[in-house]
Amino acid sequence: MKAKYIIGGIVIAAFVVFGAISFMQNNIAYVSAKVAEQTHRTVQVKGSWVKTMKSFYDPTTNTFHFYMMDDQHTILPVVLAGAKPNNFDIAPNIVAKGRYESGVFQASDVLTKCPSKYQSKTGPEAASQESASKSYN
Amino acid sequence: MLGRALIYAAFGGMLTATFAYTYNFFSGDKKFLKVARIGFHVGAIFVIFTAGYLMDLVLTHQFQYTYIWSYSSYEIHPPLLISTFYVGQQGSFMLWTMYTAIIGLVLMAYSRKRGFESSVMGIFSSIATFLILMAVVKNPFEHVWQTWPQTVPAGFMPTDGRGLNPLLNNLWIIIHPPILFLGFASTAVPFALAFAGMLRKDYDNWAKVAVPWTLFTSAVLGVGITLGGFWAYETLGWGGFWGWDPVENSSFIPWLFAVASIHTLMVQRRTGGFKRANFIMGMLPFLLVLYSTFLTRSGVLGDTSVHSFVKPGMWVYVLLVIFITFFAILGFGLYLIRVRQIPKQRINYSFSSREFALFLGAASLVVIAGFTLIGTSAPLITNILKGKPSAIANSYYIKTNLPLAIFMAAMIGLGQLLWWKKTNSQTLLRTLQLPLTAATILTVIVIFAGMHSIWMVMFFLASAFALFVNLEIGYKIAKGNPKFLGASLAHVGVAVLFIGIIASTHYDKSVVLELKQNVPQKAFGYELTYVGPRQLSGTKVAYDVVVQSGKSKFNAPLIMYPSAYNGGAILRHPYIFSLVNYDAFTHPKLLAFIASNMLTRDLYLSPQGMEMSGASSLQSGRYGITVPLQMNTPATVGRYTFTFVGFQVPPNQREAMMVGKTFDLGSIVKITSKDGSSQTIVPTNEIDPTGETKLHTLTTSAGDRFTVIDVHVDNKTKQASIDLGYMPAKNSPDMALLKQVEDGPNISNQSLVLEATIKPFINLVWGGVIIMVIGFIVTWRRRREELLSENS
Repeated sequence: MKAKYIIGGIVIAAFVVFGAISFMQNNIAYVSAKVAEQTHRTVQVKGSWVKTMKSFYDPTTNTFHFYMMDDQHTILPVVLAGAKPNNFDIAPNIVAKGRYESGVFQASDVLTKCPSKYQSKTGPEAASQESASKSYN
Repeated sequence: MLGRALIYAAFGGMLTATFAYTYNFFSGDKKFLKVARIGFHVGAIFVIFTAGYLMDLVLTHQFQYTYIWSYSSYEIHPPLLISTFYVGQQGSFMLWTMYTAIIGLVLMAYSRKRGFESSVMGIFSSIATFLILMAVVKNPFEHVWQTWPQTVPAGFMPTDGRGLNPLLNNLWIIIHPPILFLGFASTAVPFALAFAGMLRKDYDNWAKVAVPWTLFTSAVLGVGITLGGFWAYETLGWGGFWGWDPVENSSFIPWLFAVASIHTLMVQRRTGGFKRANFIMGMLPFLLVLYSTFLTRSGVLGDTSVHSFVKPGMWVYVLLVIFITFFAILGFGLYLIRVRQIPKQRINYSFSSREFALFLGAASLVVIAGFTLIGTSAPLITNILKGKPSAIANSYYIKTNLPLAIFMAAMIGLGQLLWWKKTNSQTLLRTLQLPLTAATILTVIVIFAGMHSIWMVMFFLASAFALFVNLEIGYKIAKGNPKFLGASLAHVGVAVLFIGIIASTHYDKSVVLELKQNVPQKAFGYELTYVGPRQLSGTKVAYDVVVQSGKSKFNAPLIMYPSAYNGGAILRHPYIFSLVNYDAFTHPKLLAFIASNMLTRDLYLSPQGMEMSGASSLQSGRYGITVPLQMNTPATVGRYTFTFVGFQVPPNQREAMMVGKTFDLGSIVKITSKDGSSQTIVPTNEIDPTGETKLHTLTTSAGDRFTVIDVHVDNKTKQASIDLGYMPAKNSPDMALLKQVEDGPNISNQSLVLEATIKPFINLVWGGVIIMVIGFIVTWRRRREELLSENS
């Protein structure tokens, strides 16, 4: 009976260690754009899309190029593997996951909020009533 | 305010039931049992009324209510309109509450017959009470002027609602949430049964009753999760059916615990073991549903999740925390009080016993659930440890869960071979032979077919072994009594699901294609031809791609359109040749096409955008065609090749330039025509140092007019470039080019860029889940019958 407890204990300990190591290794830290530029680790940068700067999709490499600005107003050029995400234009904030390589942030993933979760800040506009009545005339 | 009144009435009823049932349990006073029953019925009826009232507001487009305005519009018709009921936070809680009330009525009748009504219904009523409290705190009947008092005048009636996000506009939103929430709501039953069992000091009977309920929860939640996977795969274009997102995980974790508890409850039924652990196992699914609700709806995950809800306000956060803490303390507290009294049963733990296999099966499910739970909670954990929330990469889930899944698959095979108590090792070896041989042969075949990763080979071998063992045993059982087939079916389903996961997620391939109109291209053995755009309703445009395989072909409409709801952003919908594509309902030919060409792999076409090619990349303006010219770099447009050589300031203007007065700047451009003749022109612009620039148009002898529209010098390279406006002479052949450029990007000049992906054997994923759920249902029916006949 004792041997079983010991084996069980060892198994549990092994799982805890294994889990903890995996957790540390795969934990993606949130960093500022400045820090992201200095590390080779995979990190996440939170910020917003700079719409006034150039953005384009390159079909030959299937990448979307754009600039984002983090909370400290640092501008980071981002190359996303894939096309522009569906909710990109309305997302107030985006999170780019990836790593900084040869002058750009190579993002494997850009998170935007799920479409069902947006809420209006101002509510319905009174103006919409006027324009609607105009269109009926 | 009718809505509020209904909510308060429901709340009052449930609260009365909670106290009356509890008082009845401790005092035995019969009067209170009556009060409690009336209270619960009143509560349940008013919950249903509240939901019905909200549904009425949804169907009649009452946009003066914030909730209705936020998710609906006149454009939306049933059945989609019905789904706007539960698209938002308040409505989904309402749906959950309604299910809880209805399940409560069933549970009441069920427990009344068995004489443990007050203990079960007391705790169950308190759950319903808490859920209604959510509607009290976050009122679904709030008016728009109450939500936005600053911007919306009181009594204002919006002419139309904001509408449903077009990404949600599909079949899955109609069926996925109602099923998922039924699963969530049903976890309250095993919780209440376990709690009541401890309360009554009934340590065995509750477990018998809990088995069919847990099977029901597992089946419903399993279907709900899978439908979510269909949705993500089929419509949202996330590329896969599972993304380890917190919202997905939050229903997956309770499901894993529910399935694990089926196994441990089975051991208790057979041998009397796991009496203590089963109380915990019975309570955990519900507590984890609450915890996940907290994670995904309180806003704590912040930006780390794709679709965590926006911050719903302090009250919801606080209430959710109280909700979890209350039931966790109640449940675990009672467990600690009772634990010493719960008799311990020694069970046969020899390595070849079925109990041991069941224990290992349940343990691996629990550990998978545990790792997933820790990963999902990563933002909370890192916030506590490091003071800064951070998420975890998906590789974490794969790394931790893959070895466990392999182990689990092996156990699914081995466990079925071991009969209760001890199995003779010789019979074991004999029955092992056939499935082990079959699995090995199949594995060797797939290794030759290209499976080289050692982890995948092990996973495949274990899954194939599990499949063949359960097929063998299932066959034997089916010959005897098919009613007992449930467990074998469920395990066959899991094995098939595993094989489907291996094939579709590790051996998928994709390629990006740029398709010119009517020019076919080959991909994965299919011929793809972009045949052109087709206007659908509103702003929607379908870019039709004909997929040909052999002699049969089918048109795939890839839809892209600017969505007003999403601020004019372009939304893209993939098209999938898949059995879960519900277009099959309306296009009977699709099913035949898939069945004959894509049964073993899905073809996933995801539009990326339209690309212009050739002349259409030029722009035009009032000065004609704009020709961008880098210094000393020739550019050909129409019949001329232009070379910008440099700037020149006429001698009589140099002094003006030096002292900062207005001066003329000439740009030297060499023009070579197709016939070889060349000339140099120097169009000038009047530069005012304060910023004003006057453009001078220069007309050549041929009648062509040139204007330097813009001049720039790169800060770093000091390289100069100009934009030259070229207005061809009236009789010039380049007028045709100008017209073409002015007409803008001609759609026929554009090519469609798409990503084509094949997902091998993804149908095994869906098929596996369906088989598994049928297994749950078969077992559920048998256990239910057993229980009903036992008590009658």
